[in-house]
Amino acid sequence: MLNVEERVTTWRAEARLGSTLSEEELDELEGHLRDRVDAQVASGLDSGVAWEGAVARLGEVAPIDTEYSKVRMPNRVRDRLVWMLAGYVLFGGIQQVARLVATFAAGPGFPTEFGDAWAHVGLLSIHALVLTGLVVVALRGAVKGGRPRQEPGSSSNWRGRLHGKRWPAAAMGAASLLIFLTSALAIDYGQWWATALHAGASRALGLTNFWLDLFEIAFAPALAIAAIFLIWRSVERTVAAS
Amino acid sequence: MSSKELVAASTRPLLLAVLSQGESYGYAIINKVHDLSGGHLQWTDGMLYPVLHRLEKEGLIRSRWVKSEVGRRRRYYELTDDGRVAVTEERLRWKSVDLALRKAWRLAAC
Repeated sequence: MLNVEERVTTWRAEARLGSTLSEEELDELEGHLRDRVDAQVASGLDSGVAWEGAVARLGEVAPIDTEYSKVRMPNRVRDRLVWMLAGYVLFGGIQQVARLVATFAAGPGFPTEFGDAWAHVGLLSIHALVLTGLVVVALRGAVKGGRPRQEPGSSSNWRGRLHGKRWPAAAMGAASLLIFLTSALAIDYGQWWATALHAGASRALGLTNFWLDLFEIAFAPALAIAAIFLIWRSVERTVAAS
Repeated sequence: MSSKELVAASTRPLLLAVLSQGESYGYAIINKVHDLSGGHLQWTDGMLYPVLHRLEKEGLIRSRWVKSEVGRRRRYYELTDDGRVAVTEERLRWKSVDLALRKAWRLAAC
């Protein structure tokens, strides 16, 4: 007599390891397996045969996971985009609020440099948070690793395959850290580039300062966000295709 | 046995049609479709659930967890108002396909 509970536990553990399915999604699939086994056993089938049949009819978890990923994907894209935009708005907001608070609190005659210094508090806080987060991501990937690796060829899901490896998390953390540090350094020299851009654009295109400022404030960051988004999508597609 | 493409294309209207008869859960829906098709439509059971979740995301159905008489949690799905409209639209679409095929076959038989 087959111990169905034991089989269900093993099936669930394997499904959890080889997929990105949530506990609720696994609950639903597990319930389905149980329903089919119960029905087959009630019709007189041996529990072992009923179990094997139910698992076969349910299908492999990897393709199911892939289908679920397709359903979830637009949400993920939207969520990430929203967070990127929110981060940018928060970043700009903190800078402006810090500058205003410093200027009004100090009153007339207060050195404007101090206001600028306060404005940088927001910037530095964000830098510190990002830096800490990236270090944690890189270390977690390098030290703890991910979930155990699934057998090669048993899954068509690239996320499932990546879960078992330590290097992706470590590499992504390290690469992001490198990009962040490089861009943080570039901020210090960014003013020179901005000045050069202003001068070049105003001479070449005849743009007034208003339009140049508008470009810097609105379009340049929007383009940067779009570029990051497109790079991320292409990387994801490349990995999925491989 | 139906072709893979036909099974895929008919999944959505079938699910909506089955749920238009009242709320149901995955295993019961598959059995219902199996019975309705006389066993000709064979779905891979697990593939049903992502489709149900897609329909839910589109707002055509909604779900709730219910404890069964044997104490097992089951996720029941039912049509929303938009889902009822979608059933009507699907019915019209498939009727026109059916009509066109019948006419074509009749002409071919002549």
